[in-house]
Amino acid sequence: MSAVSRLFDRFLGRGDWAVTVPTLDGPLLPNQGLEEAELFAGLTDADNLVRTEKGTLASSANRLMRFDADGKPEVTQEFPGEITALAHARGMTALAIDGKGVVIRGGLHDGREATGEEAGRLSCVTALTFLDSNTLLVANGSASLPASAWRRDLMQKNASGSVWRLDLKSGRLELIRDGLGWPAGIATTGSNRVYVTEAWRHRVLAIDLASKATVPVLEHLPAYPARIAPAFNAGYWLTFYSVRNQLVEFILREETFRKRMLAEVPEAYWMAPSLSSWRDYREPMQGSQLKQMNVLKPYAVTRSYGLVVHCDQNMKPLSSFHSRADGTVHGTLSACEADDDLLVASRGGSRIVRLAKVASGKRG
Amino acid sequence: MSDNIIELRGATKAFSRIPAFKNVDFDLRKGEIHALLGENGAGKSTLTKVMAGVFKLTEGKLFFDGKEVSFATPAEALRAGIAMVFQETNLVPAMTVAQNLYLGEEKMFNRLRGLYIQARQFLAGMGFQVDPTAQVSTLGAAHKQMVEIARAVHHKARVIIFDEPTATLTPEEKRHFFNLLQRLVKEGIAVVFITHALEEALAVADRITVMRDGEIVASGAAKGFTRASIVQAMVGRTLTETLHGEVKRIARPYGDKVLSVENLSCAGLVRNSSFSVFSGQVTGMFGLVGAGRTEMAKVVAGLLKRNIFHGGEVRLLGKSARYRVPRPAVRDGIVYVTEDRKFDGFFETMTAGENLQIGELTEASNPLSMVSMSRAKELAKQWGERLRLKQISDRARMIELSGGNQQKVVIAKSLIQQPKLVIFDEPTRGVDVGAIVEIHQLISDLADQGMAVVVISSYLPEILAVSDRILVVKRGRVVEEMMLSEATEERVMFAAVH
Repeated sequence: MSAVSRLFDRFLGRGDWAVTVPTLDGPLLPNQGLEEAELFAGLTDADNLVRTEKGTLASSANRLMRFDADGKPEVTQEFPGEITALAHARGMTALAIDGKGVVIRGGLHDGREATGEEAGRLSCVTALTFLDSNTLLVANGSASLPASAWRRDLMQKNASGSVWRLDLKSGRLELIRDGLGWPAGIATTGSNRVYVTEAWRHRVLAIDLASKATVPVLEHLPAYPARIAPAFNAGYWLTFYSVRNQLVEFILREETFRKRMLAEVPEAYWMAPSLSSWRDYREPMQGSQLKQMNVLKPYAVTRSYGLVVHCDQNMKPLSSFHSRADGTVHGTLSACEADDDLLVASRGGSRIVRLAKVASGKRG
Repeated sequence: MSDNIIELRGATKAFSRIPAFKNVDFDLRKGEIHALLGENGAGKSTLTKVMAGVFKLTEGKLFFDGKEVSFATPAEALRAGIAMVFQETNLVPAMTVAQNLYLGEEKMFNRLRGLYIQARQFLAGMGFQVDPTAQVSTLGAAHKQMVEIARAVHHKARVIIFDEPTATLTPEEKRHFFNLLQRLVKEGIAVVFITHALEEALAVADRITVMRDGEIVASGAAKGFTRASIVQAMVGRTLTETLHGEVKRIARPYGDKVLSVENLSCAGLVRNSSFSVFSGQVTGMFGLVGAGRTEMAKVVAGLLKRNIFHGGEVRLLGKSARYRVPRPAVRDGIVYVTEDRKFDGFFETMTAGENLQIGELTEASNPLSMVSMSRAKELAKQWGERLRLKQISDRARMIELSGGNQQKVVIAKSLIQQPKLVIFDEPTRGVDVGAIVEIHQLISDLADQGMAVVVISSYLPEILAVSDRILVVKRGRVVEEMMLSEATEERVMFAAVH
């Protein structure tokens, strides 16, 4: 019966085959929060914001940068590949280099490099977090593609992502969960549970590290979730690649069109989510409700967007900050609190912005 | 010679020895608009029905044009020149406008073409843009009312009684209706006008009479009344609760997402509409009549079906929900409190208790659940106390209750099902001010208890008074969302119109 029902659903476009997208409303109601935020620093490919004792760390492609409180940058170190993830604890910084695994700078395991099986398995690290001084939790976005190929992974409908526990002493890797659709963020909760974002399935999972039981805690998100940063008030900041739209959802279900697009169209011009827009006239138009010659263009959907959501400790959204289709602070993949402020790295907008007094509930 | 066309002296009307009104003195002057106000159950409708020949007085005298009369039937009153336009129109839906207009005057051989020409001329003479060949069932509320009025004028009525004529009209239609009243008055017709919209009474009426508990408590020139004085006279107390959102409230925070409607489409009425509803909050849904709000709610509650192909998704607590009939929706915790309580809100020949038990049986999972008179009585007592239900006796049929009390029963019938999501569609339409406050308080209490509540209303002050967040619907889509703190009448209306 369920097979027949699924067949009907597919034919009628309902259930799992419904080309629908939840709306940005309630706590996710669009605003101009990110657009109106103060510029903290300009930075090409700004990503991986982490707060340390000596300032704020961020990555810019293969460079590790440190910013003081006024946003003055300093290049700390350059790496042979792009930095795809960053974590800091107890004077120790863990970095993931695209295709090369995890390296440690400073602290107990200073100078540690990934080798052999570890480097091979952790080739697409999207997020890192320290469980303790000797253990790292690692989100590996894909088993076959590098972290920079996230659009391809989405449009190929892959689900080969995994979460690992890495023992820094022995180099032992333990698989926590696999078969994930691009796990892009990971955060500890103070208990045995960790939160993991599953970007292509638009949800946040809670995974029990002991039993490895997985429960979705936030589902049917209207955007592709990326990183999770802890908030001062026991909550979290959730960042996103971009918002979902019906056109991309439709293409993901239209196998022939999708495969032809992947094979024949250069990646920059795909009808797919993006971290930035308006860089080339050959890109699909973006306007959300673009009107030309007095005709509403339904295909001019939003591909790039800026979105940061404040959640409580149970991952219930409380409020959000947006940069809408006509904005520039897009591709906001990471955020971190700096005292009462929130710093947000916009990869698409090549900048870091500061949302004043939004942390610790001292808004306005 | 007296100016009064109708006079009631020491009038009492009782049902089963329980008076609907007692010892009432009332007069209607020639060529005046006389507004009759009062809470539901105050006795207004019964008083006017006595004038229109529907009921006979138990005690007292009725004078028409200076002569004592006692009408045996409404037809007799109509022949004398008193017509009543009821809240629910009395037209024959399957007949055309012209046929309704000349109903009762048919000749042996009716020539329809001639009838239509006559009707067209008559309606045009009154300035009504109504097609005389149109079937009445296809007309909107405003046009039906026009036909009723035209019928009254056609019968050369000297007195026309309107029972809540504006309840179903849009603002534009209301303006048209008030212009028409002025024209009727200029032609010397006296108008009795029952309404719950106090602003309308103050703006249109020459004189106002306020009734409470079957007695006239205030009567005089409209200029001598204010909104506050009318309300005080109607309810016998000063309403500390603010009806129209004048007191600044703090919006309740978002709870869990209970309902998520994604890209919903239903015929041409709902077009790719998306919205969410959260627990512990009142979500107000505003839009002009015909914007598609009711249809969205009905699809959610299983009363209407969405489009077969790509009709969108409805998720209740994250799970996809698709109902062919309302019963599974009720079981899942979605209830819809209808905007048209008389048509599909209750069984009018049953008692309040019996109706409440039907609500309980809908939710019951046991198919062998039986109707029990003792349970019906128990429910009537329990919910009657909780909602302050006023009824003549436990055995009173729904049709004998006032509009406000009927609405309370409809609401109770829904709440008995212990829902997670309640959708109120025009919850205070045709309800008096006292009951409005109580219903608003009830809605607020439900949200405070953590329930997800949706209130659909065409009355902007009501939306602003009860909502924590407001969704504006236009042409079948939710086009704007705003929090209470940023919502003003101008902003909401702008979104609904532009």
